[in-house]
Amino acid sequence: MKLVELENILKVYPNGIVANRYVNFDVRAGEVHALIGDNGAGKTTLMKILAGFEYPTSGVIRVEGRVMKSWNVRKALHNGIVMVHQHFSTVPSLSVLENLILPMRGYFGKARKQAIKKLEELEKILGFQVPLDMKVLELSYGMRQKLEIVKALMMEPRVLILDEPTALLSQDEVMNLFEVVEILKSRGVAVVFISHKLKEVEKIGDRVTMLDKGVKVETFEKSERVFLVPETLNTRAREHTALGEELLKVQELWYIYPCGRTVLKNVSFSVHAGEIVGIYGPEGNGQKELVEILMGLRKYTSGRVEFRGKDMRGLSTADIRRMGISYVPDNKLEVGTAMKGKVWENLVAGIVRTTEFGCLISPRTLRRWARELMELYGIFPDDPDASMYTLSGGNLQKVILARELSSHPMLLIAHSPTKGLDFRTARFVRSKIREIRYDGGVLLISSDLEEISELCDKVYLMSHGELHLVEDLSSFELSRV
Amino acid sequence: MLKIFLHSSFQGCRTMTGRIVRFSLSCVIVITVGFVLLAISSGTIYGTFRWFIAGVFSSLPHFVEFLNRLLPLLLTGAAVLVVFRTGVFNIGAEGQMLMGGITATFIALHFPEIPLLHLCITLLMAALMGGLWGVVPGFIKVVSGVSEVITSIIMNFAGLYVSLYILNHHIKDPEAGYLVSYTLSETARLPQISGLNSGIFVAVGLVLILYFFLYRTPAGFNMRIVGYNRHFARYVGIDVERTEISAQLISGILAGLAGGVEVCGLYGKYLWHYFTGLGFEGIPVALMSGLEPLMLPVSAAFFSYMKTGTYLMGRMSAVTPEVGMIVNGLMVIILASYGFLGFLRMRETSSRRMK
Repeated sequence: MKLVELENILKVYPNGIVANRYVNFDVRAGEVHALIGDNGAGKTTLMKILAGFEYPTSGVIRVEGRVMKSWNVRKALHNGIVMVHQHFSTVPSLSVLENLILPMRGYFGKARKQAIKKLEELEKILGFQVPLDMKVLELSYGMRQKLEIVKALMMEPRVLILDEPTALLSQDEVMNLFEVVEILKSRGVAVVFISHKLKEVEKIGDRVTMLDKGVKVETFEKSERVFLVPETLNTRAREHTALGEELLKVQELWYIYPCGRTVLKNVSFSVHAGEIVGIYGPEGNGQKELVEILMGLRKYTSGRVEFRGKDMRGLSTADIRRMGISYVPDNKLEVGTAMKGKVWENLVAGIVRTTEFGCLISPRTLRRWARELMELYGIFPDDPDASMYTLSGGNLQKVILARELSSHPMLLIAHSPTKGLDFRTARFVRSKIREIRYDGGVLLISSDLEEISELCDKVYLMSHGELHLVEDLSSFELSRV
Repeated sequence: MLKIFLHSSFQGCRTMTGRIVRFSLSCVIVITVGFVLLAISSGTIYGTFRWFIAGVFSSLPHFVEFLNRLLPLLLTGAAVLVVFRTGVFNIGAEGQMLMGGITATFIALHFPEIPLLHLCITLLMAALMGGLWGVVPGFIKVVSGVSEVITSIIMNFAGLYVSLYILNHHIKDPEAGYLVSYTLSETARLPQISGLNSGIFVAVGLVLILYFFLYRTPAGFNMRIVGYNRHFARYVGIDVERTEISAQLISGILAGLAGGVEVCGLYGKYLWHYFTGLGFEGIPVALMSGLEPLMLPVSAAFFSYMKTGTYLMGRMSAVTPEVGMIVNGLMVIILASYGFLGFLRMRETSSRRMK
């Protein structure tokens, strides 16, 4: 039975971007319907329409065969359609319980008790415990993602939309999530699973709908999944380039938080021109602090950091950038981009760029320059004046990369550069990173083993603030640490 | 022009029709509420309301009054705009303007009467004093991390009482019979063109310069980037603290000049009760312009129009200015609030028929 149906959905954003072009989509009870496509293919928009967050320019929404004359979030919830967004929508400083009660009607007394009771039932069904009293910011990403789902389940959905739930999760956490999805499915909940990872979709999807640039390619039943060739990133033969001069040298670096927590313990490593040095390890082992220290955004406790033989202590971020270091940060929404700005402003931001264009800014020159850059990196929409909000995740990452690489850095520090990107964009980003190796060095920090093993010439393992050199690369690739 | 104005004032609304509907509906509500209030407090509604709506255009002096009221709002609005655009919530334009005014008066009364130089020094000192008052919250924030919202409010009080102290004990005119400074000599005055404060040309010029600064210079660009996202600005290598302090300096200079120009151009003396409030009014003026310098004159004109109408109504009819002020305040609340009539959008969404 078709629970909900989207028919001929056309969505044109006010700035003229067509996100969906006459797409048909339906969800049946008790199935997992996977929605796949590259970043910016219109997956999220389509599901936002289904969940009532956006309204279509034209098209019909049907719930159990009835044409809905009007449609919004409240109606969607009323009909049991709940969406879990790609970006977490919990309040980090509140406890888990508080977060779960937040969308409910009441907060104290009866409502609270009811919520807890409901939660206990859910825990029984799902088979895992939610740490109610912990603050959300203390939770791992995997747990947070589960919390989002629990929050959605509290509304008793019939259709649960998961928007790229696996983007931030590790392999084990993904498996865990799949189990939850299976349980939901067995209870008759329809799940729409948005992803750009074919492997995942193949595993979990009963039906798969593929979108490309806002147009629906096809919906495949499970039996006819011939097209889903398992894709792997081509493992390249590691070409050895000659090592150049020593660019970055970190010696006995310690970093201790004012509260006394030691984050970096005696970290030493170096990056030469012509090599890609990888730091592998689960997030939260001091990687973020390390890169921020290298970029002058944080003062370290003791040790020595040198760039081409020059001590970097006390230098500002602007100085460090001027020396030829670029940085692709982990957090692309809060640190890597100014979301309120326009694309060209994001591309030219930073001291290096604004002085390069003389002492007065000519918007026309900058726009033209930005347009060229956008063409080079294939950023869509190709309008320098577009607001950053209209860009998809992959295109945001391309903007960051374009900005960071356009200054031709000697050293690129890239922190999880392909996190949450689709296959094609990830490959593009990796090829760009590989290109730098011909003139400079790269420090790649990632928790993605595939990425590390594909790109890096030298790999360090980071755990609890300590850095260990991985001696035998080939065994490292085989055995997962 | 109206289109741009609507666009910048009602960013919350998506479609142009929605914006226009919201704007006109706001106006209708405002006028209705105002009408009812006036009907309660006065017998002759028609005559009263006519003064409020059309009084500004009834004669040249009234129009000049409108322009004279526009001038300080333009400058304090610009002052607030600069800091808000940088993401700094320094709301100390009031204190900066008062200090600018009193400094201008004090300097003008003590500086030798050399033509031109006298005026220039007076305005310059007013600007510098305003700037000084403006950067204090910025430095305090860098040193101790206290939010500029709190310190700038304190600086407002400090500005008010320091200026009153100077007025009371150093430059008070004992002959006047009320609290006012000595009158400035002619060499320290900006010329008046049939009553019009010629400082308005200075103000318009400054707003144009401000536009140029924000959109065409690296420093202005950096300010906008800091305003977009502080973390991002730091990450791309902008000295965030320095940018924020310079924004507050510029803001203070503009607000200080507002005080100076009022003294030198309009009154020729320090009339403190005419000054208070102008700095605070800069906040809605700036917000209503959508933080766009080129929209500032429009939004300042709107506020000035309301204000002049209120005072004219008070002078020409039986309505007390206080009632006028209430109407005026209501209009500001309704028109400047971005979220107002937001429910219309919800209705628009939910009642939208699917084709």
